[in-house]
Amino acid sequence: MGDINSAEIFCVGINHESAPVSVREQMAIPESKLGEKCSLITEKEGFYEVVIISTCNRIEIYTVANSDKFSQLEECFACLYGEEEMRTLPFYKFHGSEMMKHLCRVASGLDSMILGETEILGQVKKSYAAAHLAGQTSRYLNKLFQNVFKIAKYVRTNSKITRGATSVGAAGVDLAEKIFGNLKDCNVMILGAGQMGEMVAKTLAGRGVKGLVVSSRSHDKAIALAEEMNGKAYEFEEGLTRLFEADILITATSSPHTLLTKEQIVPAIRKRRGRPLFIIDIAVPRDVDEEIARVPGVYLYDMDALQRITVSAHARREEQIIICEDLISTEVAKLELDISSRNTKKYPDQGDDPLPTV
Amino acid sequence: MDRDRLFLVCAAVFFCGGFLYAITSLRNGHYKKSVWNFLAMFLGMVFQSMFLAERGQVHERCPVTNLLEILVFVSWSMVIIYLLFGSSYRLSLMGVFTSPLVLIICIIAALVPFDKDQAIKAAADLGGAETWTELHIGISLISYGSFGMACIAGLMFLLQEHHVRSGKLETLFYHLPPMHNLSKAVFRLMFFGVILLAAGIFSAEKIPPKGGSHPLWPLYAIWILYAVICFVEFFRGIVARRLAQFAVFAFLISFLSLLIIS
Repeated sequence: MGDINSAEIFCVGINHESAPVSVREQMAIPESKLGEKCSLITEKEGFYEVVIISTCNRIEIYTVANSDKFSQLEECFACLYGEEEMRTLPFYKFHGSEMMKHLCRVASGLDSMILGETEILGQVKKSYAAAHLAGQTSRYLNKLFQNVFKIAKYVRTNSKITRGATSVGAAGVDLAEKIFGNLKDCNVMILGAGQMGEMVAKTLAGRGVKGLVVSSRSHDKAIALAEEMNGKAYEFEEGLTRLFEADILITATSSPHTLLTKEQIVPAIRKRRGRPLFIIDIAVPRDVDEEIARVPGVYLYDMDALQRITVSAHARREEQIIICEDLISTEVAKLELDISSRNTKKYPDQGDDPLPTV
Repeated sequence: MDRDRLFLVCAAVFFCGGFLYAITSLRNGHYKKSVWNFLAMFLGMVFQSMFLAERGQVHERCPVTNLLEILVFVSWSMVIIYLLFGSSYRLSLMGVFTSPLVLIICIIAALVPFDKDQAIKAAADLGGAETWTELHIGISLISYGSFGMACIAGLMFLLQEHHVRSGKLETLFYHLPPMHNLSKAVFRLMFFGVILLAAGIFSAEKIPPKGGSHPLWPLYAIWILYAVICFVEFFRGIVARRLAQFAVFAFLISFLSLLIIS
């Protein structure tokens, strides 16, 4: 063991801004191997605690190590991947309050490719849990991560950083939920078995819709997609005659001309006895005549309309960055005092605090 | 200041406070479940009840002897209906939309002069309360409260629909309930009002005939209007936007009918 009187918490890593996906994909570590990889680092002299965060956008190592290790943090990556060229990657490194702020930004989604996304907090929690279960965390990283989780939640609650749909599928779901309330009573029909339609339908199906029907000129494709999504397939013409059954209609055909006119929709709406029809037309050229939007009870959105929603949501999230940074700064100042009172300089000592439950 | 007027001012303060709190929270993005707004509405209702009780003692009957008292009674029933149904059906923000209307009624009623001596003399001339009259007035005006809340739910629907159609997913979009829930609330409140008004009309028919009673035809007209809307919605279905528009329009008509009745 080296100089035990000068330990500190460090962070070293790469993310979507510093390294291309071709590099990140080579370095990705599956969740099941995170604990094992952490132990490779703590086996090295002067490294005491480790958490590795590996997502599609970042690989970061948080470690409690002797202060003199700051200049050699790249070694962590070299010992994980066993390649000398790892040392030359564009790593960023943080310590002290900058490290804490960085971790808070990551956990709050401020450092994500999609600003304010919420999945990252779950990923960070899983990474920490893996390290903790492997016995690779102790007093300092436990304290750090558990406080960071609280801060991330606090930032989300006290700002609008997570508000608004940032993808076309999510925008469709947001609107559908505000029209129908519970999507569990909704039937979804997809006209066209293309990739975009599938993507939006999958997002909606993820919310547990009642039934899903696929209708396409290529019936084989319709059957394949319907099977994949646990739904039913209709012949294309049959689909057009059963429009009244759908609460949410996704049109994504490659038809060169308008497929649905006002004359087709009005009788379908009458049969629905006042129940609304939500149409997402993501085909280009559009499948649905825009006049249909004027029919009472019909809510029609094309690709542009949905994209406008995502763009304005993104802009609103960017306006929230300053608020979030302020919240993080205030909370990190408190956390820094708390952690420094534990005096990492005496690490490792005897009689560690009992490990908290994850 | 008279006690009855003081009660109305207190009610107005609570409605105003609850409304301002909700608006400020919405603007700051901290609006969650509106416990404080609910509490303010409840306390406002308590003071409205105290006002009505005070006036009831003066009149020695149900305190609805002029248009403003009628309006206070209707607004009181709206608040009661909100407290009973608004929160249990998770109609978030319904209190925020109800409080300004109730607040305005309280302020106007508190400002209008009230001749207590004349009211006492009129009560003596009427010779005290009569059960069927009391029932008729009370139930009919509570049904107006229900129609008023259907109108509020209809306005909330139209606002939410505007957000959905324009694709402007801003603060109110996220806090307003889904359009489907609002549409259901509009129908239920109208139906509840129709049942109550039927009971109110029935009790009016039992009142012993005497001079000075108000004409009943406006009540019949209002009942038929709402009953037809509910019938068509139940048996044939009305597009939700139309139903919301009907709820707003029908309440405006009901409001005008109060002028005739009073």
